[in-house]
Parts: sequence; C-alpha cells; structure tokens
Amino acid sequence: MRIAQRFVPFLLAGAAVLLARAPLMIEAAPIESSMGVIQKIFYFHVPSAIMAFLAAFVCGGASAAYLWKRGKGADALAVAAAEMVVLFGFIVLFTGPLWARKAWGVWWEWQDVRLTMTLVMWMIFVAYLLLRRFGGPGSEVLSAAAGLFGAALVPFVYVSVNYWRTLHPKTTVVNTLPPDMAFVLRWSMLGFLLLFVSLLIVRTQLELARYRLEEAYAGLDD
Amino acid sequence: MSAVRAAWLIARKDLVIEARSRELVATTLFFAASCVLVFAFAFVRGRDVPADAPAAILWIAIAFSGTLALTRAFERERQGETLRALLMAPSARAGVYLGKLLGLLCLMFLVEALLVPLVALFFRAPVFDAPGYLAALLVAGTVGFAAVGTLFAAMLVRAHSRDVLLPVLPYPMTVPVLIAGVRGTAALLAAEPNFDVARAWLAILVFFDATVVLLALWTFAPVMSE
Amino acid sequence: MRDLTTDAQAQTPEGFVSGAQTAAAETLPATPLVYIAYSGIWLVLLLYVFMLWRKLQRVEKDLQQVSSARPGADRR
Repeated sequence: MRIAQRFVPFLLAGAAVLLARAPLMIEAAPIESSMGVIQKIFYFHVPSAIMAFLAAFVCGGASAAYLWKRGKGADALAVAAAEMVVLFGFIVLFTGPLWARKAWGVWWEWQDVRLTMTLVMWMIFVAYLLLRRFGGPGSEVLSAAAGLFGAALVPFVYVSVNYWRTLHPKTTVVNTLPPDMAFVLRWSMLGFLLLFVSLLIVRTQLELARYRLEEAYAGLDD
Repeated sequence: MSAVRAAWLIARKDLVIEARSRELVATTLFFAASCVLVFAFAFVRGRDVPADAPAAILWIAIAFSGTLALTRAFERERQGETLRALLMAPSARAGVYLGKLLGLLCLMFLVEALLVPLVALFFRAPVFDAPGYLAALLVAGTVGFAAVGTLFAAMLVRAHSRDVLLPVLPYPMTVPVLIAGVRGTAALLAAEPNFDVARAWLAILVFFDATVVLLALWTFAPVMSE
Repeated sequence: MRDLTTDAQAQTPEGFVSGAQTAAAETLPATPLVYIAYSGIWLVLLLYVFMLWRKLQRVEKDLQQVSSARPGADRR
C-alpha cells in the first residue's frame, strides 16, 4: 500500500470533516424560509456541482496536455478527472430532483440551466469513459480528443440552456446567505474539495500503477 | 500538398463516388423521410399539431440522418485503407478533415432540401415565410453538427466498437446545436415569428461552429498520427 | 432566489411554485427526502472509495508478483 498510504490522511481528513459536520448541519442549520427543510440538501449538492465542473476542466486540460506531449501522467490525470465528473455529477443529478420535487413541485425541469447542463456534461464524460473502456488499443488518444472537446463545449451547453429561462436559484444566493448557513456551506465546500483532490490523486496513482504493471508484464515476456 | 488542395481533392473524390453510386444519398434521403413519417404518426392528431413539433422533428431527422451518413462515409475509407494513405502527407492532414467535412455537408444539405418541404407538408409548418433565416439556421447548425461528427468519425475509424461508439460519443456534445436549432426554428415557425430570438440562436450557433472547427483543426493532426 | 420567493408567495403560503401540484407536494414530506439525499451521497462515495481501494490492492499485488518473478522487471 505504498502508493495510497501517503494520501490516506487527506482522504480521512476530508471524510472526517464531512462526517463530523453533516449530522450537526442537518439539525442545526436554520431552515430556509421559502423552501423549508428540503433546502438543506444544498450543503452537499452545491459543492458536488462545483467539484464536477472543476473535474471537467481538469480533464480538458489534461487531455490537451496529453494530445500534445503524450505524457502518461497527463493521460492518467485525464481518466481520473473524468471519473470524478461522473461521480460528483451523479451526486448532483441524484440530489437535484429530490430538492426540485419539493421546491418546484416537479422532479425535473428542462428549462433549468444547471440541471440540464450538468446532465449533458455528465453524459459527455460517461461517453468518455465508454470510449476508454470499449475503444480498444489507442483509445487514450481518442479519449483525449473527446475530453478536450467535452470540456470546451460545456460553456456552450450553459449558454444555450440559459437562453431559455431558468428556475434555479441564482448564484447570488450564496452571497445573501445568513452567516450560519454560509459557514456551513463553506465547511462543506472545504470537505468536498479535500475529498475531490484526494480521490483524484488516488485514482491517478492507480492508473499510473496500471501502466507500470503493463510495462512489467511486457518486460517479462522478453 | 497544401491543406486546401487536399481538402478540395478529397471532397471532390467523395462527391464523384457518390454521384456515380448514389448509395449514400439514396439511403440517407429515404431514412430521413421515414424519420419524418414516424414522427408524423406519433405527433399529428387530426388537425392538431403540437406547437414546436415541426422544428423539433426537422432537427431530429437531421441529427439521425447525419449520424447515418457519417458512419457510412468513413466506412469507405476504412475498407479501402485510403485514410492511412491520405494522412501520410503531414501538411495535408487538416485538409483531410476539411475535405471529409465538405463532402458530408453537401450530403446533409441535400437531405435538408428534402426534409424542409416534407416537414412543411406533413406538419403544415410555414417554412417558406422566412427562408433566409431558416436557411442560415440550417447551415450554421449543420456545420456544427457535421464538424463534431466528422472529427469523431475519423478518430474512431480504427477503434473497436466503432459502430456503437460513433452515435454515442458526439451526441452529448452536439446538444447546443440541437437546442439552438430547434429553438431558433421554432421561433421562426411560430404564429408570430420572433426574429430577434432566431438571430440570437443563430449567433450562438456561429460561435459554436467557429470553436468546434478551430478545435477540430488543432486536434485532428495529433489525434490521427499514431 | 427572489424570483422563486415572489412566485411562491403569490401562490401558496407554503412557498411551492406549482399550484396544480400543491396537493401532491404537500403529502410528500420533506425530511425523508433530505435523509435519502444524504445517505445516497454517502453510499455512492463509500462505494467508489471501496472500489478504488480494491483495485489498488490488486494492482499492487500483481506488481509484487511480477517483480519477484523477475527482479527489476518493474523498473524501466
């Protein structure tokens, strides 16, 4: 466990931050006046969304780096980041409708920018992972192109859905939050950031270890 | 060999082959028409047509036919191993992309020339009221769709599971095109056409096209050189 | 947020947007949904970490096997 041992502390720190706070958050945070208890989902929903988008850009950057330099590290990072998008994106898409059902009365709303955009972005990176898995030899390069395109087009998805109307609470809600809620949100954000970074590192290390294994096998055949 | 010359040669080759065999054209046109027919059965109820249905159906038919054409267009290259030969000349690589894109665009415009009157006929849509705007939307949208599709089709020529991956991969990325195309066309076909809305969507499409084509030209050479 | 509240306040005292769905929304209590949300998140995260852990262990084991079968093979 040489590789992971260095990063386990980060993982534990992130998890501990979340674990210690979550029950307290749920009970103690003030109930938001217009939406009621259901709004408390947002303490995990919002950081997850931010991590998902962050991961998308990391994947895009790493893909570009791989396309031009062909470094194994860049490719490993790209795969790891793509998995992060799918993981955190799933959390957003799972908690979103739960919130929406109470807040707006419907499970899904197409004209909501963020929900639709997250779904499309999620699908782009699921397609990325499918390509990795089923594309056969040489799929690292192909998926790098897919990752780069995917990340670059995410803003367009935002713009096009946004030109519809949006029901989603506007971003200004974060600035106008009462201090208690803002604090809890920042705490949660920190926890998710730690979690994201440590998962990303561990997953990248896994991919790099796999490369070493392949090379070791190849060396064995000589 | 410059990129432009390569593009022209490739596009001409594709079009000449197509003109002789008419295989792609015939099958794609028929497929597009069947699409519209199926949607007609699904949506038209006596005299009632749901408000934005014609716009949506037009673009869905374009997307589906486009994917069909894409798959077939690169099949030819794969079987003939011509792609590898084409890519030998480094200066011409971008030209290969442009040439295939041009060939695909010609085919798709032809399909749209059939689709638009069909949709007008089956759904009683006033498509000829604003032909300029509609044509602009169609051109911009098709370029965006084809640009993404051509890149992925070229990328996947030698990949496993190509047949399944080619439809799957570009679709989420062409969502902006579909949204913009449908909403823009719907604005034009509405009872009171809203030209400002159509113009805005057109602008989004043009930006999208520029971004995608630029990105594709950048990444085509690195991706295809193995 | 303001759009939502003005809309909501205009319609029902509880603050739900859609009038037609008010009946359905009222009978669906919010608190279980919150618990479902949080437990779902934890489940997904723990599952992923567990999967990562297992894969990492397997790769490490294989690497050790290869290096013992042929010392130095895993170094480039």
